[in-house]
Amino acid sequence: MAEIYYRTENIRPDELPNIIVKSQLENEIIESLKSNANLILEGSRGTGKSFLMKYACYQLEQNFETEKILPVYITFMASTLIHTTDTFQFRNWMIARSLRELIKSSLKRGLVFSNYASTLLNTETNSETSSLDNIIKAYEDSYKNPGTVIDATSLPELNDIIDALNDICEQNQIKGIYFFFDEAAHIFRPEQQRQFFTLFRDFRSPYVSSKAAVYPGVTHFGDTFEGIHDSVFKKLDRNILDPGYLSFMTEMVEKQVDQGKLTMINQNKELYNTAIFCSNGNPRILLKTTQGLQRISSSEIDTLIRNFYRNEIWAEHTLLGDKFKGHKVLIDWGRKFLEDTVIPSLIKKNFNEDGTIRTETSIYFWIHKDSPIQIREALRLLTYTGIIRKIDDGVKGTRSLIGTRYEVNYGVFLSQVNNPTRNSRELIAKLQINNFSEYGQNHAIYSDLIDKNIILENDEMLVASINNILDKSISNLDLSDWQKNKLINDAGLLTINDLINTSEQDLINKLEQVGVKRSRQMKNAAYAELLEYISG
Amino acid sequence: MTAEEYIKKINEQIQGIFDSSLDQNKDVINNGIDFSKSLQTWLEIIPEDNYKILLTNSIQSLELSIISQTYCLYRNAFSSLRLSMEMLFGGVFFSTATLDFIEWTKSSRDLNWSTINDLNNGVLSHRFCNAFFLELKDKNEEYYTKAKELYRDLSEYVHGNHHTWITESEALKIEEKEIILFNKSLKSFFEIANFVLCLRYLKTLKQSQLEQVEPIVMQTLNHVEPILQHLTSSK
Repeated sequence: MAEIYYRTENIRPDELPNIIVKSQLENEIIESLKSNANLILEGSRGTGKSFLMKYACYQLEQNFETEKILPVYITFMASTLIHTTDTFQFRNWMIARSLRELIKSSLKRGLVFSNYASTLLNTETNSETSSLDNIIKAYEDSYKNPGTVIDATSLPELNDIIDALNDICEQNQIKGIYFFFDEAAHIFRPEQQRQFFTLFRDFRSPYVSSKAAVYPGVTHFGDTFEGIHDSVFKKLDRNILDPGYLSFMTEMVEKQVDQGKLTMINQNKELYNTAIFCSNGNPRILLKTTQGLQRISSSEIDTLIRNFYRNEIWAEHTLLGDKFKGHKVLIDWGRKFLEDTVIPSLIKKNFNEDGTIRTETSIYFWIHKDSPIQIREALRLLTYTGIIRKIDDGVKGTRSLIGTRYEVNYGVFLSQVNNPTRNSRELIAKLQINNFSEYGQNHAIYSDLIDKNIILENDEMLVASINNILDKSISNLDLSDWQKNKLINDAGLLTINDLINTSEQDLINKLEQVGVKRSRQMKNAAYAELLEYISG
Repeated sequence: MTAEEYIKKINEQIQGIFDSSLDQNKDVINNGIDFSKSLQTWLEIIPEDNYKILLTNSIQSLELSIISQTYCLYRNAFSSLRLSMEMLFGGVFFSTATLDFIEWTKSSRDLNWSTINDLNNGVLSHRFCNAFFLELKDKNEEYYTKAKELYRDLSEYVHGNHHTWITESEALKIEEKEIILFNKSLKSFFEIANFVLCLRYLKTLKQSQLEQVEPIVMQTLNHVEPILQHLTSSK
């Protein structure tokens, strides 16, 4: 059987051109990656962000002699400093690491930004250390001994580094150095992510630009980073209703499966199309599920849908709980909300009582913009694995209320439907994006989550950190002075913990001019402070 | 013409083609020096021991092969590359065989390719794999075969097999066929060398050392799942 790649890390660079499939979306993203813009590429796990980044790098490398753009690909996989709580050291580590990768990439192109250890030359070359070597050494020294205080003034500033890179470009007739940070933000904590994006924004010159691949829902850009001004933002989302969707996904599979499987797919195209729709535009999921198919028949595809989209796809979502400590309650609620509320409601929306399909179908739902922050956080986590997809904000619901529209992963939805393969074609054909279930500001289902203590961690350090946050004064919250004054002086609440332990109704009762909306805002601010910490 | 004048003439001829050879060998030079620098990084993090002299020799021989290549001395280039390979495999082999190493230093033992790349006891053997990186057990045989084939290709130049002679015209000239083959051999050796070093040392490395070799390893072995796993899970 042919080897199917569903992780970009496993693909040799020279194989990339053989397996890539490009629609307009991919072409646009590749061109942006090859341009000198700072770029954020957002997509759920497995949508192909790394693949497109690697491909853009590969092309730049291949065309280096003519285009003179040096790509530097950085993954931060084996990283000592990931766990440091010293943000100063973390920033320095990132800089040193990026510059080391730059040297590696330059070596591959025969550009010397660093001295060789000289094995054949009799002369001592190491005495003439280059400016880049000096910079890297200074930064590495600054983080190699955690705990020791480093004199920040002794370190070269970011401007000095950019100047050094600009000099390198001018001396070597290079038109640009492009840094590709793959999944960088994902493995960092929120505070580190903010550091990363600040660096990402500032690491910029006519010669230097950066690109970063991020997941939706779990990336903190920080206050100083303004997406629109500081970078080009591209989303890698494939809409299952796009006219070219089926042919694009089919072509991608054709490039990787062996002849036997291909024949099987071609003989059962209609059935296989159900599997393609279920993958919701995610190549990794489609390739994984295709690899597991021994035969293609209605029962085989139905079994696949039930096994994969009812169980396996959730496993990754549950793993988030291990990765991001403190998320378990949010993660469990998110799954329950989707499986017990959203999907049953969509099934009712789509099917008549006699089991026939209605004239319009839906896999969409809408959440009021002022819903509790814990709810939005739980949904945010569901977007990470692609179980739901945020389509747009500012969507009008019933009574002209405003909210956010989401799409349920089609496979996850179909796995809860009777006879998935028999019904799929009609369900897809009748999908209407304006047909959605609505969940208002205070939907009863929210109380399950709001009433729960979201901190279940027994990690001592985490608990200590959380207690620190809870003990912080209300004056630290992102609220207006008037609101803070009301909480502290009129309600007698001093700490974030006090506010969390006071119900919205109590706030309304105690405070004049505070109604449903303001009490929610106040509570949300307290939770926001906490959630932001435990998100990492 | 004296013997010395004759040699000088040859040197002139070589120097004459050196510049255009540099241009044609751009990829070879970049890959080769990158390879050399990568081996130097490995050398820095492998614990100090007498047998490491063989790894140093390997780097030296690698660079000599590149310089021979740019002088269009193709046979020397391939021979040096083979020697580099022997030294690298020998060094790793001696890392677990002190007695053999001491005998080698006293010239009472030869470095025998069939011993150091033996499927039962060599550096790519199941035995090495079991001892140093068990998860590579499905891969070591593939690299054993690759190493064997590369060594055989390089040996053809050492033994002077018929097709390795340039017979159509002058002996010293730029030969595209040789450049392509040398570059291919170099890349293959780079990958094999990285695999051998990963198999023997990767699991023994500290976090900071892993970070040092990660870009080197990922460059050639990103498709080897256990290695990728080890680098990823170590964070």
